[in-house]
Amino acid sequence: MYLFVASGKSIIMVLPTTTLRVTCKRIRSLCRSTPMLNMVPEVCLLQSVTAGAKVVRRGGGGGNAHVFGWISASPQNDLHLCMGSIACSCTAPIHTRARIAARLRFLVQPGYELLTGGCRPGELLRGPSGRMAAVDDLKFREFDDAATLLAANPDATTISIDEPTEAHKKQHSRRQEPGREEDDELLGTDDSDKTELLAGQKKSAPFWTFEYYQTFFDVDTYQVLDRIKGSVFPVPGRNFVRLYVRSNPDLYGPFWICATLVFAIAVSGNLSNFFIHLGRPTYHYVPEFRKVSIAATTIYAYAWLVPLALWGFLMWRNSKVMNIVSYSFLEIVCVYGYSLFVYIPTAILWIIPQKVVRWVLMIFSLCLSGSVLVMTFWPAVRDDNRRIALATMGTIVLLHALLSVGCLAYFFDAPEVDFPAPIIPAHNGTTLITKVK
Amino acid sequence: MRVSCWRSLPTCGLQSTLFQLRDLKAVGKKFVHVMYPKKSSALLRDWDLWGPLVLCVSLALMLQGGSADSKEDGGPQFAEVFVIIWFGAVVITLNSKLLGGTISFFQSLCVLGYCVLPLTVAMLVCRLVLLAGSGTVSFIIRLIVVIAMFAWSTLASTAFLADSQPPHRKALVVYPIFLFYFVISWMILTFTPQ
Repeated sequence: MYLFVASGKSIIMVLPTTTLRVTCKRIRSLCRSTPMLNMVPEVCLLQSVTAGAKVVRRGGGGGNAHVFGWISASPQNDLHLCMGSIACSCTAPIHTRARIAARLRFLVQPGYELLTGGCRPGELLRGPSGRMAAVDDLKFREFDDAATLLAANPDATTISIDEPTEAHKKQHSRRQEPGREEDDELLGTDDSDKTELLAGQKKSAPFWTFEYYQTFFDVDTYQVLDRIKGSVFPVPGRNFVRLYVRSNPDLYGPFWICATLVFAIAVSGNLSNFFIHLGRPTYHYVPEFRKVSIAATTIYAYAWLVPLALWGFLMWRNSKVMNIVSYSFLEIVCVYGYSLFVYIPTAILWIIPQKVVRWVLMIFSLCLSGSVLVMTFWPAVRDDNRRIALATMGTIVLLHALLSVGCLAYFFDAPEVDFPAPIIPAHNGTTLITKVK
Repeated sequence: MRVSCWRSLPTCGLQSTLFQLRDLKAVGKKFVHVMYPKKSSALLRDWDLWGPLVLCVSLALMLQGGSADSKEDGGPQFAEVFVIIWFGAVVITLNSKLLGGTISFFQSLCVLGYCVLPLTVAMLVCRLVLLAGSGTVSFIIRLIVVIAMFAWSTLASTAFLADSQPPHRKALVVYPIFLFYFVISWMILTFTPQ
């Protein structure tokens, strides 16, 4: 029995199950064990369901899921799965749909075919042995050996998700069939899908080899620029990790953005102090090189230790509450690294020696980068206890604010400088000391 | 001084192990290649680290005698300059190899080290200009010289290293080099004598 689950964002998951009683944990573990699917089911507990039934999330809250259909494993039915157009989100381009189809294909038991096309969700379509007329744009193929396969394995309801290569090999040979042109031409150009499926796991090199670390630098220029753009212009409601990182976290961005930020803050602080103190006769310019090491320590500690703590915390809550969304450590490092990018132009603009300007800039950049973080981590904690979720988000934003306030206070002197008190001899012989603050 | 021994192992025992004039000529030839960067492979093929060492030490020495001897907020110490240059070069090399570059580790170090030569020249010029005076005019002269030499260094090293990088990642490899020479130029520009 295969169960279809889709989230509010309409991503589909096909699950094998012998009964209709599945638990959230099973769904989540199945999602995690198939990394190439890159899906996040947002639904939880399911009892006995029928096609098209609505399933409410445990604990309430928005975003119900819909069961879209099922395939029975009994030989006499040989139903076909109707994936339909609801499988993808409305804004997903057509190659995404084909991609999802490709990834799901290997999950389908041999003898069954995955059809894409226009059909209503939950619609049951009979196969070539049977009876129902197909929708026009659906393509069928002859099941030569379906009967034999099913006869050999009548109760085969589980598939080996752990060995996608075997199932994929079967699918691969079937892919050459003429009935699949539409998907083939969409998928044939997308080599990354095929290699992912064939490879199984992405990062498979042992950690002491160089190739293992090369997988963290597997980004092109345009990808890095896209991610930077996504961190500076956060789209409300879109998750940075899902949208840009998408199971290819890189270490290039976090490392070099932090390095640039360190030097930007140190150089800008030095320059701004120079301009502020320029008029003073007793001022002698110093390059303040010590501050570079202090800046480096602070920023790298923030960008790597805070994600570590956050990841540990999310793992701990995950084990207790079964959160729906969970990020890997590298993805969290990625988000934090790219979210720091907006501080680079801010640090350069902090050279302007006006207090108001500096505070406005700081609040603006804090809002931008904070919103990236909030929109990333809110889905991961919102199922939790309300107070804990809000406390987590508050801590994230607070630490971010502390970083920027601390940098501003330490590296950039205040624009109103204390001038040494001039001693003005008063008329009455007393000494009047004026102090300018 | 066993440089000559590495490259001609069969005759290793026959040659003397002194630092020969031939090695000095090789280093000098590389200096010329850096100042006039063409896409020649001489720098890459016969890498050596003597030139970078000499340049690094001279740059670090010239950056001493700055505004602070042991005060907190002074310029970089000798060890700091050394560490920045070598650690920076190693990190950039690792970065380019992780991104899929085909250049070898020491070849890249060699190129990055040799391309510090224009900045060392800039440091020399700055010290001479500062001997004359330290007003606004001298600052402008120093600024122009440092900017010109920084551009030269970056372009020279990019000319040597860019070919060995995968095509869609050239900018990802060039940017850290830019940052590296920018930091060195900053240290040179902000040098103020006591």
